[in-house]
Amino acid sequence: MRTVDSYDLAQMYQTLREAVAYRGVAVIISNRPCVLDPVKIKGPALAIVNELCNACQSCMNLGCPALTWASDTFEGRHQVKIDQSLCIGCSLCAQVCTVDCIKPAAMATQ
Amino acid sequence: MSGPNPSNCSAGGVQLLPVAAAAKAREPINVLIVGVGGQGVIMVSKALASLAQSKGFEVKQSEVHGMAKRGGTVFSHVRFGPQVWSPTIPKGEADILVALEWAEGLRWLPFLKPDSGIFICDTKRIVPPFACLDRHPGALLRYSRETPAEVKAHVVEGYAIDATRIAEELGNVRAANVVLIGALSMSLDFSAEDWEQALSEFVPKKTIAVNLEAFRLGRRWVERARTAPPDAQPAETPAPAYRPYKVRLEITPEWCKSCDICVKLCPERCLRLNAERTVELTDAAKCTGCRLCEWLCPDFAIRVHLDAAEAPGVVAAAEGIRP
Repeated sequence: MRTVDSYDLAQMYQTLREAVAYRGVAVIISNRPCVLDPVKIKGPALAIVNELCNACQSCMNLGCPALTWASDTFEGRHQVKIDQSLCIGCSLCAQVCTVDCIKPAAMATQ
Repeated sequence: MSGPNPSNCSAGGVQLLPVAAAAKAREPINVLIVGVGGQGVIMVSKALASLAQSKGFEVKQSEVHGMAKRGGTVFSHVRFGPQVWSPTIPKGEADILVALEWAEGLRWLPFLKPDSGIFICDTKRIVPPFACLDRHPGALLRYSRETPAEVKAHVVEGYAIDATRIAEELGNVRAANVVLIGALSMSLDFSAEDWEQALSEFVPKKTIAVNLEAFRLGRRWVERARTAPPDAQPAETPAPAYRPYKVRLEITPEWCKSCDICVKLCPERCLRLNAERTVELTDAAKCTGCRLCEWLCPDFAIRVHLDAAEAPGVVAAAEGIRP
C-alpha cells in the first residue's frame, strides 16, 4: 500500500509500475483533492515562454482545458498557449514539457 | 389564464415580432438556451423562466448539464405560454435560440423554426482541447469555420454578438450571458424593468450593477443592429504559412543503447525497439518531425531531417497557369 500525490507524475508512474509488478493485492491512494469539488481550486497560473516552445505538443496529450494553440508556429507546427483564467497551476504540463518552457506566469514574462 | 398583455411589448410596436404572433395563436413560446459549462446557461434560463412565471404564464423548463463541470455542453429548454404540455422543444420548433458559445450555437441551429426563428449567439469560441491536438505542420483547428455572416445568411433573424468582449470591457467576463439576455429581451414581450428586476434576483448581490449595465448594452447592441447593420466582422486568421516538408529519420543503430527514452516520449507513438533492441520507425506517415527523439537521445543516434517537399513548386506552377 502506497500513498502518492497524484500531481507528481514521476512518483505516480513509479508507484504504478511497482504496483503492477507486485504479486498480490496492491493499493495506491492518490492523495490530492479534486480541483472541481467540493471547492474549486485555483492556484497561480502557468505560462509558456514562446521562444523556447518547440511545438512538440506533448502537453496537449493531457487534454487540459486551459491549453490551446497559439498563433505562432515552430517549423509549421502550432505552439501552445495557456489560458490564464482557466489554468489552476497544477503543473502537470510543466512536468511533461520536454524543453521546460512552461513556467509560473511571473517568471515567463521576464 | 390570459395571454400576454400587448401593452407590455418592449420593441416599441414598430413591427409585429414573430414571437408575438406565436403568442396570439396561444402556442407556447420556445426559447432554447445553449452553451458550455460555466457560462451561465442555467442562470439565463432561470431568469427567463421566473420572469415568465411572474407574468402569469405556464412555464416548463428542462436542462441537461451532464459534463458541465468539465466544460462540456449545457442546454436548457424554456417553454412558456397559456398552456404548456411537453417540457422539451421539438426539432425545428424553437422561436429563439440563445447560444453562449459559437460552435454550440451552430450545433443547435436545426432546432430553430426555419421560417421565423431568431438566432442570438455570442461569437466567443471555446475550443475543446482535443480540437487542437494535431502536430502536423500547417494543421487547421478542428473547429467550425463558418463566419458569422455565413451563418446569418441561413437564419431569418440572426445576431452574432461579441458578448464576451463587451462584458470584458465592463470588467466582468462572467456578465457575457447577461449581455445576451439583453439581446434576448428585445425579442420577447417583457418590459426592460421587469427583466432588470428578475436579473437582480438571480445575480450575486455584489455584481448587480455590472450585470444591469451588461443587460442594457445587450439591448442597445440589438437596437443598433436592427437600424443599421453592424460593421463587418474581422477576417478569420488564415492558417499559418509554412514550408511543406517531408520527414526523414536518420538512425545510427550502432549508437543506440536501447535506453527506450525516445520510444516512451514520442508523442505519436511511432517508434519502437526492434528484435536487436535498437530503435526503428514503425509508421513513417505518423511521424510529424517534432524532433523530440532527436533532442532527447543521449547518444545522438537519431537525427531528424526536414526535406523540402517538391509540392510548393508544383503548386506555384499550377497557380501560374490558372486564368
